[in-house]
Amino acid sequence: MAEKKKLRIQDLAKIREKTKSLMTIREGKGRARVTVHMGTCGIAAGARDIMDALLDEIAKAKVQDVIVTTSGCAGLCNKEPMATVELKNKPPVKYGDLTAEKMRKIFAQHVLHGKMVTEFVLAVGSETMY
Amino acid sequence: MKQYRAHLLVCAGTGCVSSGSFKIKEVLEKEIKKRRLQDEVQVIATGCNGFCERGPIVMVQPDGIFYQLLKVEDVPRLVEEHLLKGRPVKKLMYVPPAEDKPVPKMKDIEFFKHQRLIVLRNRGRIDPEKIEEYIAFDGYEGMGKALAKMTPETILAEITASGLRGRGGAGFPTGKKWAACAKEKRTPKYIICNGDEGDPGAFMDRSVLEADPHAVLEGMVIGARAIGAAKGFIYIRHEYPLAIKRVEIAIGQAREYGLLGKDILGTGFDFDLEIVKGAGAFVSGEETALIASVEGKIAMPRQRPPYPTHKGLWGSPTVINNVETWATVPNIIRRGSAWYSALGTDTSKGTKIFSLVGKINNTGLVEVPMGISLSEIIYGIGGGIPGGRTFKAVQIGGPSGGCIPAKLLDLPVDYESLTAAGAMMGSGGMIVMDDKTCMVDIAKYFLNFLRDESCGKCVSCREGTQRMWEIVSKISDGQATLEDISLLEELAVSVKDASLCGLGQTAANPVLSTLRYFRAEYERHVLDKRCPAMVCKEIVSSPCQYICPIDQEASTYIALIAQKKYEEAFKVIRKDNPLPSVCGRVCSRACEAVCRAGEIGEPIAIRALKRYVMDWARAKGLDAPTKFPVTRTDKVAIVGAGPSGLAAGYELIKKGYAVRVFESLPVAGGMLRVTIPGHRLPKDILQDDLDYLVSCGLSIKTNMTLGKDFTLDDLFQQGYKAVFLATGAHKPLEMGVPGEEAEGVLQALEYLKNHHLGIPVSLGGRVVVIGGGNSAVDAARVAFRDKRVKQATILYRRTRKEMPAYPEEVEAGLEEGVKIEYLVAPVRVRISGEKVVGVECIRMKLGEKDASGRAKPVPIPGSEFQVPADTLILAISERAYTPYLKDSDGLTLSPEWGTIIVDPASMATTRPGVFAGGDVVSGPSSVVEAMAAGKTAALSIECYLEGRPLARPHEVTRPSLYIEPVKLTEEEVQNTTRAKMPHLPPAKRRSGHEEIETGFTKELALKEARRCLRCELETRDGKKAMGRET
Amino acid sequence: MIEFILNGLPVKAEEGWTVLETAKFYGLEIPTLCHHEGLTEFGGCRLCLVEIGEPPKSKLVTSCTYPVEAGLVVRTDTNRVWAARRMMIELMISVAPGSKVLQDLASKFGVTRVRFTPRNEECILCGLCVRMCAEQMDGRAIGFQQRGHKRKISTPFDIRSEECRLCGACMYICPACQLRCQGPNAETALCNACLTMDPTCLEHYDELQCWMYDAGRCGTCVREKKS
Repeated sequence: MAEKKKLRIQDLAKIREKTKSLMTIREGKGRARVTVHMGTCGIAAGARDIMDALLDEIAKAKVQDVIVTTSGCAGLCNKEPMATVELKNKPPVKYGDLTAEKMRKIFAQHVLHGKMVTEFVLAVGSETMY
Repeated sequence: MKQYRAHLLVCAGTGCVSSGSFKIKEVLEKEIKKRRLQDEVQVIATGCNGFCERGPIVMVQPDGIFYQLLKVEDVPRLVEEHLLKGRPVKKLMYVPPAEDKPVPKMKDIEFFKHQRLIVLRNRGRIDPEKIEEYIAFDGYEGMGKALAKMTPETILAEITASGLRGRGGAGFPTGKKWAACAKEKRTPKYIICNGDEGDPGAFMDRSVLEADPHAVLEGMVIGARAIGAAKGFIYIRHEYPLAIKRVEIAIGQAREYGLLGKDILGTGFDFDLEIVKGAGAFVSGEETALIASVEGKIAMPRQRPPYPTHKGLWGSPTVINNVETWATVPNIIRRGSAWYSALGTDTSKGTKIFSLVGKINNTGLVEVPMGISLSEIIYGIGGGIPGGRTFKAVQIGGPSGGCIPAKLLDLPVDYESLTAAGAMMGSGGMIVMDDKTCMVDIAKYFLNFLRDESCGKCVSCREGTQRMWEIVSKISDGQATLEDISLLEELAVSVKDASLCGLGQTAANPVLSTLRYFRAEYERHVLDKRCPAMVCKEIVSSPCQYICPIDQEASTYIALIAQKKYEEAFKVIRKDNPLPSVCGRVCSRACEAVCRAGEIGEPIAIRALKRYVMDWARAKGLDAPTKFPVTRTDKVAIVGAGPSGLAAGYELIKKGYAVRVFESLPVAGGMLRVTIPGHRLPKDILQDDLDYLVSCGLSIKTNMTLGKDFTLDDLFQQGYKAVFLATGAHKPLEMGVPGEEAEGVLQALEYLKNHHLGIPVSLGGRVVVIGGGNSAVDAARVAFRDKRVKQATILYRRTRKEMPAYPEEVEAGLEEGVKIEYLVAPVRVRISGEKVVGVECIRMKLGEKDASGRAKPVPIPGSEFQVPADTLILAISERAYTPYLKDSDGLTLSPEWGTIIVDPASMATTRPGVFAGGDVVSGPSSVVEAMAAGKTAALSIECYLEGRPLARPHEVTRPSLYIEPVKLTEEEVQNTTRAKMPHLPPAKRRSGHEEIETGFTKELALKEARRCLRCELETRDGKKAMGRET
Repeated sequence: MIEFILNGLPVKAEEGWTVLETAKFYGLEIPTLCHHEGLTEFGGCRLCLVEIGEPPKSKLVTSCTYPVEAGLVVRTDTNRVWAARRMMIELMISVAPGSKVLQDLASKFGVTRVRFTPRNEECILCGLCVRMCAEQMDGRAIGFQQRGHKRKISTPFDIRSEECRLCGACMYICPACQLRCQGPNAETALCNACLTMDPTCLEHYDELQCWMYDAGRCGTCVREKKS
């Protein structure tokens, strides 16, 4: 994805399709995508520890097909640190009030075994973009 | 403006996408166009709404119908049947299952579901450091369209048509600003992004710059094209390092891809951007000051005209807009001005981001359409006030804005209505305040901010903010007069009128808006030296002393206990309290409820410490009364030897009056003697306090009943010059069920009085008590101590949480074996012959909240059941009762409550020379409130007898002396738990009526006293006394 | 020529003139403090405020910095202007009660009380000394430091400046450290002595004691017009 040539308008559309498909968990490619929300509020609340815990668990479990990514503030600042877990063909699940320990549990139960950790869940689904 | 009659929301969450929802969307759009419905029906891709197992999903609005598991071949039928013929296709519909899903859906969460994301549309779903992800969600499409398919004129027209107004605060129409600059012939031209977000509590711009920086870049390129600029600057305050970093990365990536720099997207348009960092001033958010800052000069505003669009950066035409404004622009170009202007109100189009912070359950950033009401934001999205507290005001617009009080919560959020209410949209900071916020303190806070941040050029702003702050500080310190408030208002208007820039012109808003809606609060600070929210330290000093109705200096005597100076502690207690041992046992302890130690842990056990000192003093024989000489000729009569009458009497004999108290019962003490059980207030302890008063010279005559043995007129004829009525409130309320008059049905207060007077009462083996207050619990526990009683049950119509009785009394009762059944109400008393044999009850459940804020219990039909009882004790409530008064006595009663009406300040009734106080005026209240009323009445009577108007000096709260604090160990500092009061073991309690709380030991008292935070040392006087000059 | 309305009268001004310049040209008096003909405009003292526009959309601007515009409607002495002017004088006197210039302005505009605690600071931050040093004397030895209530004028880093040639122009131009009033010593922040002096100061002293810019009129005559 790293061609650094100057873009034309038609290139924008191509990049759009390509990136969108990469961001989607498709058949056979990637089992889960975990987004750790790292705006200043998240970082102040400890998002870096969450991230470290997640990467540590991934390394320990030796899985290659979990996409880890970050984003900015998710909006509900008093529930930070937050993370969103998206499994193949399942709606994204937003977790709030996380600690490193909770993240490890979420990884083991939800990411690896597909079962939501309901007591940590904030909500299921994503916001309606108007 | 296009008005679509239907929207088709195609779920474009990852689940649906992988089952082909994009293709469905494409086919839908084609079919709609084919059927010429494109002006009536709009197709929108939305985020996932949680029904992924059933995707692709299309929701038809406004019908609210879900179509599921769609295939491409279903589309023509869907469009024809549903959209054209108005017949939804049942076979394709999704009916949500009826079972309760335990996990909430995003779309159901109040915080998220009311929001309309435009500027924040990418939140949570892209990595801001990856330009490809921005592009994935239609990023740079607007810019492409603007550069390749539009002209500067058409771009201007679109922005103007959208109605977009500047989001930085002033709300100037963006199209108009851009057009003014576009018209200028001189070059070069510049555009600037104002990312100096300075309002305390505002972080919208930071969030956008951190989470979606490309949106701002894209908007700026479009703007540059419209006005003809080739260079732009993004001014970011240096306190936002993450935002600066992300924007730098974004600019770098955009340049790499040719989306910034020369020949953007091959269209021949050149434009580049640079970041300029702020240097730490709030005033540099003002546009002319910001321009000066970019030029490398000190950030000071200058006069406009000339406006920056004519003469801006380096004298060149410049457009400067806020981050949020720039981030909105790509969406308008991409989706059209008609789409944008369909949102919002007539004058305020689109959406606005607010940072919802303060005393609110859900804090965060919310993007809502203009025109939404404040109450929807605060109670809907925000989830209301935490801790069950009451909403007081919301500050909108930062230091330039103002407060909106509760009565205006239905106000729609738009530029004009907020300004009319005395606030301002501003950058969108929304600080919610509850009843523990002091509005004077808020004004002081913002003025302090402004006097620091004023650039200092104008006398009006620099001196004005300083002087306004001085005056408001004076008010907050309890040192001001009403003239100060007038001066404040006059000064505020001048500052507003005479200042050069927006900072000065709006600097008076915090003052003017708080004065407009909360003037009474200011006046309380000035006239009464009180801060209702208990925030202003110089007024409140120690909250315990501040709130005590009789001004007991709790923190002083606690400090003396900590120093082991028990005798001095005793003196401090005695000087303000005529019944200190009584209070040490049964006071309702308003002080503990406001104790600051209670905010971080458990409050100090103030009452228990007072008791410790009084017990110690009694053991040492120290509580020796001094007889007060009668120095005045006037004599005063008091009717009622309860706490109110006794307190009034004591104060009057201290002043040298001859006082006689007439008491109807054979014993003095009122409810203290005949209602409160011995296991809470031992009768010998009470007697000691009573004996003390008598020894000081208070004459009490028992067995004298007003209305029977003497009348009011008799008293005056006998030469009393003033009378204080303190007969209490002990007429029980009827339960209102049939059978109440049967034998064996007792009223709680009557039962307790007879018990305490030694009058025999017939009790059966099974005692049932109806009610949930202290009288109910007291009656049950006293009855259960009777050897005849085998079982005592309390029936209460609400839940334990709502019981008005003191929780520790309820707990102790349960420990003793009293049973309590909740959510039960009596229906009728069952009688056999003349005697009660039981009570028929019905189960209740909690329904809607009533006027007191508690959920109203409603009966569950068909749930009646029987409770057998040999004795039924009713403890519903009591009210004032004055059968001794005739119309000719000249007093006025409240028809609703039966209480005596008095002037609240002087406690005078409608008959000259007759005063009243305590429960007979207030209705059932606490011992200490009754005593406070007595103290006030004594002062009032003195003024009356001396022929002068009542003059109650109002002062700020201060202790009579300052005690050196003790040195604490680290462990003590960390400890926030209270010493536990030792109790008699439950097994031992039923055998008699001994006090069940046995009192602190010396060690426990010392430990607890050392926990006190010594709030009185935090005032300037306190610091000075400790040699800690500030 | 730019045409506009000044106090109800149609006036003509050159391009680039300010409202103050135009008023002066027409002989209309607007009080100033931080304005000086030889220096650039500052607009900080807020004394030269005038009301422009029609109510309810009128606003107050400093006439020394406001450029003339065609069709502008300017009024120099309305209630709003006087209220603001008086408050500015009151604020400045509470900072520097020792300044005769300010005391005279107080007398002239009927400021009879100072309701703020005096600070006795002597500098009202009008910036004349800074501009004098930079523009007329080419020294640039002093400037503004800090902002808000902490603002002050000093040399860089508050140390002795090598640029300062000790010419004394800053002291010459300063309105606060100009001649002290030679009249009776006031005990309070506000003197107003010349306002209440009866007989006038010329009957006590050989020379007119006030330096108000209209010679021959000391505060006593203004007493009648005090509003």
